[in-house]
Amino acid sequence: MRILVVEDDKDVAGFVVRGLREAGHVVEHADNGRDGLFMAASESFDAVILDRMLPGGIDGLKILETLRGQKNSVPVLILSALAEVDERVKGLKAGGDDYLTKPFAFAELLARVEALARRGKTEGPVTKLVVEDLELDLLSRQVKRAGQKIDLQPREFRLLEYLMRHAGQVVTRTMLLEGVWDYHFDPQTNVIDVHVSRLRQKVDKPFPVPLIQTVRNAGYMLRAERA
Amino acid sequence: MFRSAGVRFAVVYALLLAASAAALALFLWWSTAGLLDRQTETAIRADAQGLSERWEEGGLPALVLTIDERLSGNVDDDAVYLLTNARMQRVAGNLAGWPSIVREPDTWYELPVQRAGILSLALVWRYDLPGGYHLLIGRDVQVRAQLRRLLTDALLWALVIVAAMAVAGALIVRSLLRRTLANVSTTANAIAAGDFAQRVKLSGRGDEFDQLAEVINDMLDRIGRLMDGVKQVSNAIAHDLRTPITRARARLEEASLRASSPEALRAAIDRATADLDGIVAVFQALMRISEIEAGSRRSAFATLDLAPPLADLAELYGAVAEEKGVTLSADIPERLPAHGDRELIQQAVANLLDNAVKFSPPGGTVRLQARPAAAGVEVLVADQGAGIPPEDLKRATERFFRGESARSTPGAGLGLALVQAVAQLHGGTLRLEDAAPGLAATLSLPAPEEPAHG
Amino acid sequence: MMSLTRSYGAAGLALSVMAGFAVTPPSVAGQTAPVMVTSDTPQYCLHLLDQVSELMRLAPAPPPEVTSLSTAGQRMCGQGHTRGGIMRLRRALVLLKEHSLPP
Repeated sequence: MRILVVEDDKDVAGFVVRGLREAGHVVEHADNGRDGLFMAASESFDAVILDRMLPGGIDGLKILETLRGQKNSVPVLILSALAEVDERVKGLKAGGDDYLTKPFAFAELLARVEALARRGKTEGPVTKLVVEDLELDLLSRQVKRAGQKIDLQPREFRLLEYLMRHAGQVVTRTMLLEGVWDYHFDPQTNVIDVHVSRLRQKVDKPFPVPLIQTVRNAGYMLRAERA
Repeated sequence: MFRSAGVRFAVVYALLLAASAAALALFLWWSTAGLLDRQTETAIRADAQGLSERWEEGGLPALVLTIDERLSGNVDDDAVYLLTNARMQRVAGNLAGWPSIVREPDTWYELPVQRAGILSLALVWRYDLPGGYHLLIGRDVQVRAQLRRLLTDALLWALVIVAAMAVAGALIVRSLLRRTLANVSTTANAIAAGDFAQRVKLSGRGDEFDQLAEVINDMLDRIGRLMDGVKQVSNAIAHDLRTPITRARARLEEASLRASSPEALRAAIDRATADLDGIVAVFQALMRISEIEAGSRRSAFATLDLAPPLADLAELYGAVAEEKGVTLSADIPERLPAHGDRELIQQAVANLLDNAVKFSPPGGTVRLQARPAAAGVEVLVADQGAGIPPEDLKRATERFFRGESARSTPGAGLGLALVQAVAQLHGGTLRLEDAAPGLAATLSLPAPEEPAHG
Repeated sequence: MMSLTRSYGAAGLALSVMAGFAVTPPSVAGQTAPVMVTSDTPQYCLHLLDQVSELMRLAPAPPPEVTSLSTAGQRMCGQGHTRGGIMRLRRALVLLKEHSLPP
């Protein structure tokens, strides 16, 4: 994917750019607001990582407002040291798609950016999600693996649906809490792990190939088709 | 000078006074001297009417005779007549000659006259008669002139007095205002200099200044509480956060000096990262609590149904409880209308549930019960664990407070502080009671003041 | 606050000026010499006395005040108190005229 990183701090920018390139993406970098706006507006990217505090007179939010004003709907992830809830709301209201506060774990950033970019490319409403031999029917709310019916609680269904929609991508615990439980805080205990392990009992354990993978220091991933 | 509010008030007062005095003087003039004027004019006109009738009846001789008669009967000695022919020669009347200033007919003239050596003033009117005769009729208006002079003098004196009163008033009003405001400003100065226990004194009259003083005192109380909160945090940071920071630092230093392999180094770095994350989480929670206490989120309040988010939380923590062998029983009504910030309430209840599950023994039960109450909504989270000893109950909601029994479990001790902050922001309360055994935490949220719309 | 002060000030000033104008005399002619009134001279006194005498002769029984007034008036005129004398003579005349009017 083509990703634009607009960040003025050299260390953070280097860290992010290198990490993204290692993950196989094409990355462009701007270290001030004016260049960032120019590049975002003139080239096409799959996602933009935008810092809020930028030198050059144009800050992150202004860039965002300008892009949206030009009907540019590129997915934007806002990176900010401003962690208050009001700032988060401000950022999302200005047109941001996701908001990550510093300091952040790189795995979290990668997972979210990839999820954002993928989101921009959906092909329209689907009625069925299929990964390998796992089938999830959104209309009848039924799950089948290798032809066998799996009985899931409503919340477990939602959890599996989220993982399948992000198949092949890293999904962090925070993303799961937000996407499945609509809970926006970081609980100290690993409540998510318990739910995922229950899901695994039903979806993976009775079958030869485990689909739900744990990604160390990041979260989980539902494995997509083998290449 | 005009920046002083006291002087401004005084100036307004003085001008009002001047305006009222002027209005009064004008009215007085109109009703006295003005009245005299009108009376004199009416008398002269009536006189003229009478004389003209005589003229029509009997011509010149009759007029001359009438004038003479009138003069003879003028006991008040205030009438002035003069009848001249076309050549301005006197025919009848009591004026020596035609006054030069009386040139036009049908106009009032004020004529200085001399009576027996005394200067006086007469109001006269000229009539032109057929045959070229000119008739002058008038009355003495010396009285009016004197009255006018009297009123002018009085007015001028009044203006002087008003000016003096204005200056005095200005000084009095300014000192009055200063004295009342001095109370507030001395207190403010004392506080600015650092004596935070000062409060504005109330005069006890219950007037607007007292109300202002009360508002200021309330504000000072609140600032005092916030400052205490900050002090608390600084102390807590000094005490409780240096430990993980020191630990992380020590680990890194040791790894740097004595690590034997790349894997050991990597492990040390990973642990240090985890430590740092932990510290950041504590700071985030602290900031959150401060944010909540500062009240900035109150504007995001809305009317909402608490039942779904509470059910979600019960389900979220239900799995964790099950893993530990603890039963989570949830008693939530179909609909639970409330007023507030959904995310904050969620986080508060989550903290309570987290604590309850964490401290519950295997086989125990954690109860989550929500119901509408007389004044809003009540959410109860009760566990059967070790509970909080009675002497610690009061301090449990302090930041970083961890009872002796809890020292071994992970956590920074901020959970209850956050719940307390959320309760306070909503104008509600957090009650901690001994559930014998265990802890029962009740979060009470009041209903909004006005009835919800829609 | 200041605009209020200004409007009050203007009103007060206007009223004071108006009062001032009302109070000063309208057309005070320049320093003209005052006109002499001729009805306060000794000659006028005699003129009035003649009238009084005439009426007293024609009147049947004059009231006593008339006599005292005319006597006093005559005396005062003779002593130089012209205005006082003229006033008494005029009063006497007025009383006489009233008296001689047909009932």
